[in-house]
Amino acid sequence: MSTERKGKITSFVVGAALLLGGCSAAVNDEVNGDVSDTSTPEEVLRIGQTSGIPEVYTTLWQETGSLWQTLVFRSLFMPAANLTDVTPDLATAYSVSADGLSVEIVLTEDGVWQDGTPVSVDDVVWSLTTALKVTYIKSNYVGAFGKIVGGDAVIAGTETELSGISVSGSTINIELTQPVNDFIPLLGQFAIYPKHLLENADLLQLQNDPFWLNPVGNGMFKVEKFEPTQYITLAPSPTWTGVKPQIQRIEVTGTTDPVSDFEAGKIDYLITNDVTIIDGLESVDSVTKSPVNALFLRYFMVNANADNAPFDNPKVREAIIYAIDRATIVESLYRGAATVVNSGIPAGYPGYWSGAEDYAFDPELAKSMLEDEGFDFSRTIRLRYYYSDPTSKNFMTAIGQSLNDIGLTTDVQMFQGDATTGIWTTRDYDLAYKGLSAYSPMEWYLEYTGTRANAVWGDQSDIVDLVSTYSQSNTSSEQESILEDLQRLDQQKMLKLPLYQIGVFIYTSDRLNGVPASLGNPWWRYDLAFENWSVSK
Amino acid sequence: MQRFLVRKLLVLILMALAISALVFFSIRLSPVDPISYLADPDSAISKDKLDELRAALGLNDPIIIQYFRWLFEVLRGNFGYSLMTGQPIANILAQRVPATLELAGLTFFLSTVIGVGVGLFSAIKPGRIFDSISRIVAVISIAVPEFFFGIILIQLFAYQLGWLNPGGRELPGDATFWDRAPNVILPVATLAFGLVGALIRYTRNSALDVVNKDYIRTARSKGVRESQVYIGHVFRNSVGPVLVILVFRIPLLIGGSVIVEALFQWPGMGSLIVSSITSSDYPVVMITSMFVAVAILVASFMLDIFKALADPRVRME
Repeated sequence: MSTERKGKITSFVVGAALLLGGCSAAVNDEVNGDVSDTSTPEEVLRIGQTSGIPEVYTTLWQETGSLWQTLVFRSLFMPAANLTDVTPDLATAYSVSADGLSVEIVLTEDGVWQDGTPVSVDDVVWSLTTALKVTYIKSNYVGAFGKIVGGDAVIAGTETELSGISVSGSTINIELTQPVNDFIPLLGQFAIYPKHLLENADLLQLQNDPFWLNPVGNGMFKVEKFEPTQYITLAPSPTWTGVKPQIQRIEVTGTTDPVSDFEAGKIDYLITNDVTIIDGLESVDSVTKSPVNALFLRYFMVNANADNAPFDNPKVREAIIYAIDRATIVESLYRGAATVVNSGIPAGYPGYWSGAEDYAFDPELAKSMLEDEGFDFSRTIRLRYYYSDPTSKNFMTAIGQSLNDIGLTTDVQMFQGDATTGIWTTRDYDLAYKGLSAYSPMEWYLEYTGTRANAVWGDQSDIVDLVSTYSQSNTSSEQESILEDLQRLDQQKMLKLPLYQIGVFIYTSDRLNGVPASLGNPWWRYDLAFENWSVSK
Repeated sequence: MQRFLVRKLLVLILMALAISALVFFSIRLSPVDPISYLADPDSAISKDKLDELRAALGLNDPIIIQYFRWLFEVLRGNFGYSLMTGQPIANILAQRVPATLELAGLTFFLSTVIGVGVGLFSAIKPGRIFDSISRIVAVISIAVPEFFFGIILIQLFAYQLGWLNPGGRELPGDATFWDRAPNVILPVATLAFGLVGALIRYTRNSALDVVNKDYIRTARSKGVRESQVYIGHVFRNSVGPVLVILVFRIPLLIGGSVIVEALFQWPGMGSLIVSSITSSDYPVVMITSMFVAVAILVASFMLDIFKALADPRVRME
């Protein structure tokens, strides 16, 4: 073959590769529609996400939602920053009976889906019912909506409709089997989905329905373009009947270096609890750092089942926490971005028990407790974790060393396989390092309920009964009393060893105006007064 | 030649089948359950619902049945669906493959032109300044991790000078191919820099080997122009070993460079392979593994053809 011919073949191959790349862009443009940006730079809010852009538009039922989700889908109510107080959103009014067993909700007539279809009571009923049929959904919703009359049957699959819901015009009546004190606040988190676009979806895999490639919401913003793994752009929804937003475009992109991105003016908004990023942003003058009130806890789950002696002994479990200098480790790793906690309810939260034991570091006490209980020091303690960030790995190394210092042998590893199976089913561990991003302090205790919890901890009916009583209580004094009782039980049993609460921070550039002075948990929905946000030049 | 090609083709098909079985069964040995993987450890998902989904996806069937069912569908052109995203794998590949081909194609072209060109020129003028500099550059290229070089490029061109974007293949407002073309510059430069060093050294050494051969001396003594000596004789005879490197570089590039893709948020095959392995998204892992394996087999096949065309002795064997 001549040189010239070889050269032509080579050129053809390279050209074809480039052409293929160009054609893919053309195909993408055909599928997603050409997007022309007519916004001026000062009308565009740029959000950075260190976790990147997902492959699919994550459903709010599975993850409660970032800004680019909660601005697109509305709920019946709009929670305040404390996530408890609510104002009407898709609902114009509501009432709860004195016994807490009946809820009446009046739906607004102003709600419109972004395809022009009105939001109807059918959407609400379908959403509440479907929440009990899907595979992947937050446990809070199942716990609450499962208390609707007929909920158990729908969960079990023996019924397809909730018998406890009835409709009259635009009024929805919900009957409960028992009072659920956070039913209304949870309805403020629960996004209503369009029945007419999702009723034929495979409910076992609702999160994978093609609807999510181009979701149709009913909120202030609509998804203009969702480019998997690359970016998401939102534009004001033409069907929005509320106060028009000042921001005309939201661009969400992944960022691997948010410090440089803020310095270069490439992003305006970022949520993070990464210590490295927090440290780096301290030197950036053009950002405002806002700590947020988020229950982001880290703790050890103890495999305390009777088949895992000696960790079925509460004294052994208690000794372990005395062996760990949590204050020093947390301070050295998080440098002020985390605080030690002694129960599932941190100081400052309603119901916090001020008499809780603080488990101050005392290695001698830990050692003597273990000796008193006849602990075999040659037994290897299996420490497992699933977080892959460097700080978590360093933390686990430090924990292992702490236990080694009092003569214990440890085996520190990441879970082999998925953590959910590892923690709840396989249970090949003694202590599992785990996290909880909680909607409310009660979520810490909700973890003790359910059949899978029994495999790890055995029957904990005393805790379960208190949790049930709490969920039916409507007075704050009674709720705080129950929470205190739960904390006492927690400390007696030591089934979970509390470690620390991670600080979460929202960073905003100096271009961004109108952001509320006090910000709530960014992973739950609440009133951000987004219509007041603006971006200056 | 025909018998040679048919024989090579049959071997390729058999090897592809063997690799498919190896990939399928070894992946199924993974302890990760893809259904539970989607369930956040912090949330309480109903075990019954997970079991129902597992059965609906055929994950409870005997493994041998799963293999043949999968193989049959792949041969029919049905690559199946991702367990993680529910998207047809063909659609996922339609997004990822062009991005990878863009990166791989431009990197291959750039590194080849620079590597072979610099290597040849160094061999033509050995010991001169150009040769010394090129050898230093080659060593740096091999020694410096590509992610480090990439970070330097990002800091300089994206943040300090503001000329280019720090990452992403497509950004908001990129409506056409030419809008997003600048986004490929930094990742290509990073990848090409890492590849060019070995190519410079191989080409230089191979060319130096040939330059001292008798037939080169003969060509010169016959009065052949110097340029013709290098192009017609030195290059043609030294490109053989370099060709092996080049051909096998193609499937490696197609398999994706995970580090560069992570650094530049490039949605290529590398990041897809890693994310699917991490989440035990079996269908995607199997298809992407087969994709890379077939690319390597085809590259090897192409190399055999080139060698057979260039050297009849290979065909006779």
